[in-house]
Amino acid sequence: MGFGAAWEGAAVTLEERFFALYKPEQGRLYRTAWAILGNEADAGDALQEATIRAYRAFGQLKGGAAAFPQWMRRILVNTCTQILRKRMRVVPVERPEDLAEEQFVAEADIPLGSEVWEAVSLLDERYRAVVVLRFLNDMQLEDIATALDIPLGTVKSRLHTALKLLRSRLQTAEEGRGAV
Amino acid sequence: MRCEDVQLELQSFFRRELSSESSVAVSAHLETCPTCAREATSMRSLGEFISRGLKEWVNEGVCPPELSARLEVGLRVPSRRLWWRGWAVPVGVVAAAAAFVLALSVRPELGDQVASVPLLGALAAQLNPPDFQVQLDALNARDQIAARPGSLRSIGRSVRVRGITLTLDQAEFSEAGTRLRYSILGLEMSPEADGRLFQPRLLTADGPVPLHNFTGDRRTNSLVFEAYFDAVPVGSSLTLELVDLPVPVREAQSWVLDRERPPGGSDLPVVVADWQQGAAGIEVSLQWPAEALSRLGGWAAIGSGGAALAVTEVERRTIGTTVTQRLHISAPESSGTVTLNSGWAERQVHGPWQVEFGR
Repeated sequence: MGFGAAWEGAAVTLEERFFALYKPEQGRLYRTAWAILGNEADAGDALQEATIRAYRAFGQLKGGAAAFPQWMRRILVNTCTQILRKRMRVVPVERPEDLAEEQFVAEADIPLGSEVWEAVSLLDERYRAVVVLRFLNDMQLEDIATALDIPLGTVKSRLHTALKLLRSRLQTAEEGRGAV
Repeated sequence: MRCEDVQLELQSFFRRELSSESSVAVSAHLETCPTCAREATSMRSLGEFISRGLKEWVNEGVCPPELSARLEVGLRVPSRRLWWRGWAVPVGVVAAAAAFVLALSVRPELGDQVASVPLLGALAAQLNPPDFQVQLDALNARDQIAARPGSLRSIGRSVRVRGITLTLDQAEFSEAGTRLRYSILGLEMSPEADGRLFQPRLLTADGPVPLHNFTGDRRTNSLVFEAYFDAVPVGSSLTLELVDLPVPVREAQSWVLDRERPPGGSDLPVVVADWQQGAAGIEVSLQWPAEALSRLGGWAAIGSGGAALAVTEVERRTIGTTVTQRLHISAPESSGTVTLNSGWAERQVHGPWQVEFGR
């Protein structure tokens, strides 16, 4: 039975049902998109697209309200990785050696609040994407390779390099407190 | 297994994503190699720390109210739902090649040129040298922007060429590198259609500046690009080239329609750069490579009723390697289509190119 059917008889519109489940997730979804895409403007666009997709497919949701958060997040992550694939496709030459140091970080893109996110957000897009998909979304490396349309070996080496960069940054940040 | 190989596999190993064979090999290595064992411990706790930190950060998230409002409106306005899917190039429309050249200079030396460029019009009056200059030459699809040395941000100057608006949003020059952010409005293609089409080139007098990173991204109604190049010395004159952008015909209204493929198989684009409809007919401006000039036999035009229309060459100019030719076509009707045929010396007729007008 589709999720929509469970609401039959209720005096609410499809839109109201959708938003009742969607609203509590919106902040998390927004930050998930931000983490994957690296900036708030793109996160907004991705969330808009994912929301529209989810709304259109809402009647097909199986498993009731409990299944909504994960279902919605999957749609969002798919939307975001689709955007990343497109972005990466317009990068004609990959030169990982150039990416070890990030030279361009707009101040507005550096968020406050979490030292982990702060460190992750400073990574180059290609590193950031695999780190976020792995450690935020708990995706298998093979799934990340498929989602980003890159070889599994590339995912592994990016993740490895990214972690080494993050380790040194987080250690610097935590110097004296010994967190990592 | 070598230490490097083991370390690459650690994250898969922790979450049991390796084949049993590989897993045994990694495990065996870790038992005998204290360096890798230490690295494994460090990487495992680092991964857990990052995972926890990211999830906490996401859980604290709040959607900005204006975005929230936009999302709700997006669901309620049917036409907005479709924009993402509407990116395919319209069927039956053949895009023409266009080239944009956006020149950046750290010396405001273009003032004289600005004055001499036709079509600049009101734009010239808005210029504010020496801070910033924009030069538009629609015939040659050449836009030039002169800027002061130092870091520049939030430029937001636009030029419109052939139905496409090109905006240089941000430019940043530093010792670390050069960052350019620009957006294109009116291009009915997605960057993924062919990423190479959108690859920018940044040139100095000494040659191309290496491109480090380049992203292209769809926004609701534009394409946004960000390109990171090597640093350039202060005093350099820079040219950012965006070549072969596919011009959308729907936006183009007036011009273009096809690209010519002359004998020999090489790809020589002929572009209808501009046209105007007057009382006496239509004036079309065509652009094409000078090397094709010797092959041109002439032009013939047919109106929508099938009648032959008189074609007169009004002007022909060669600038660099580009020939600009203005034709006058006597078109009695006020609307319809004009089909333009080219005759090449080596082959009688190419085309037709169809020019729609009166829409």
